[in-house]
Amino acid sequence: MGRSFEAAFDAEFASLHRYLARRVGAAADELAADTFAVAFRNWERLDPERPVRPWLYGIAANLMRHHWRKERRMLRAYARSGVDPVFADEDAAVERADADARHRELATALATLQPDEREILLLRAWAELTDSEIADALGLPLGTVKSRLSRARERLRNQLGGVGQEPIEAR
Amino acid sequence: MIDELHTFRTHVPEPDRETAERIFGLATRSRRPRKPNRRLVSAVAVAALVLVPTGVAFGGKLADLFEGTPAPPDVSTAFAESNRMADEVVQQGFAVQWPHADVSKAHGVIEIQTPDGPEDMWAAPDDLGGQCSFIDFADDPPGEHGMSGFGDCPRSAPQPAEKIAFGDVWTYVHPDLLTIYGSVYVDATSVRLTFADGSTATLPVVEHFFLGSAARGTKVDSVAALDAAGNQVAARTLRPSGSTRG
Repeated sequence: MGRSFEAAFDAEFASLHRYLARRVGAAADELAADTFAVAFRNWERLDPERPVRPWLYGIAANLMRHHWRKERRMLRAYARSGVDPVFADEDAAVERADADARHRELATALATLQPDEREILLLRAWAELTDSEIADALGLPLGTVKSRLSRARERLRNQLGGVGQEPIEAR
Repeated sequence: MIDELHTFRTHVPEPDRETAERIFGLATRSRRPRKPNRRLVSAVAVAALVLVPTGVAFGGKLADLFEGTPAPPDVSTAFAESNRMADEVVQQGFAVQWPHADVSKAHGVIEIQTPDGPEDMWAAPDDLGGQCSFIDFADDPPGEHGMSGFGDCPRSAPQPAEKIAFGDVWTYVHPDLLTIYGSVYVDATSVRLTFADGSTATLPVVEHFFLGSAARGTKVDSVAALDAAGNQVAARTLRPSGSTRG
């Protein structure tokens, strides 16, 4: 008996939605629905041996391509104003405004990354995929993932003034 | 660095149950869009009701206005894949020539409603004067080579000795359903199927094709082609062998 779509949805929906919400705020609903709609239509094509999670995040990454500019605009807006548009609909947004200058710097740095670098970095940091899962999700060689991840970290570190350590060992 | 990212936007809330249910509903309602071609009103749509033989769950209700619907990309891809295989057949010396479908003219012929959703027959003229056909279930997901389904390009020239081509098949994807299909090489507006239990059912003929769905295990003993007045113009007795699997 193969995996059921319903079980996969139950297992992955919340974390995927949250990941998308961190990236594009209110558009997460639309992206999550589109991601699972693509998965549903292609469910029987999924290799039963292949894990669902990277596949779903790969679909989401493809859909995110249409939102890269929006994401960059949101990051820049946050960096400028201190009000993160991701939380723009929430009352707490203003309370959090300017709460953390470091996060505004981080938003600036993320906005300067190339879309493919940001994708890999955030799949690692927020979706907590391993390097090999990221390679599976994006259809990239493992070496490419490692080199892009390294480049993204380097760029981010430079943007943030070269401080901070790399506590995450390669997985 | 990654640690700093971990704490960035951590306040994003978990989606609530209502959101999850709404998005699940949206995702699972998705289907390939197939808009019927409203320009072409199928004359056979009025003959949509199919007689239900006793003891046999038989589906064959025609969907309105399907004939002439341009084939969606996944179906066109399936025809194109069939052409590629035809090329291989010729290249490997299994045949001197093999029909190729004109993919640009692929169109809907018959859509019936089955317990597994709409089942469609598509056709495209071939380069040897015949028609290629392809059958799929509309709600199935497409594969790498287009829709999964089955079909062929019957060698229509010279005219086959049999006036009625007949097939029945079940698939692993829809194991409970028997697809009954075929084509008629005489002027006929319907075919009458006679089942092993003696009951009968009538299917309309559209562009020489017919399509029906029954419970797997259904046995068809014979097929008769009927003209508009109900006169039998051709008949074929089928061997009592079991159905094939696609």
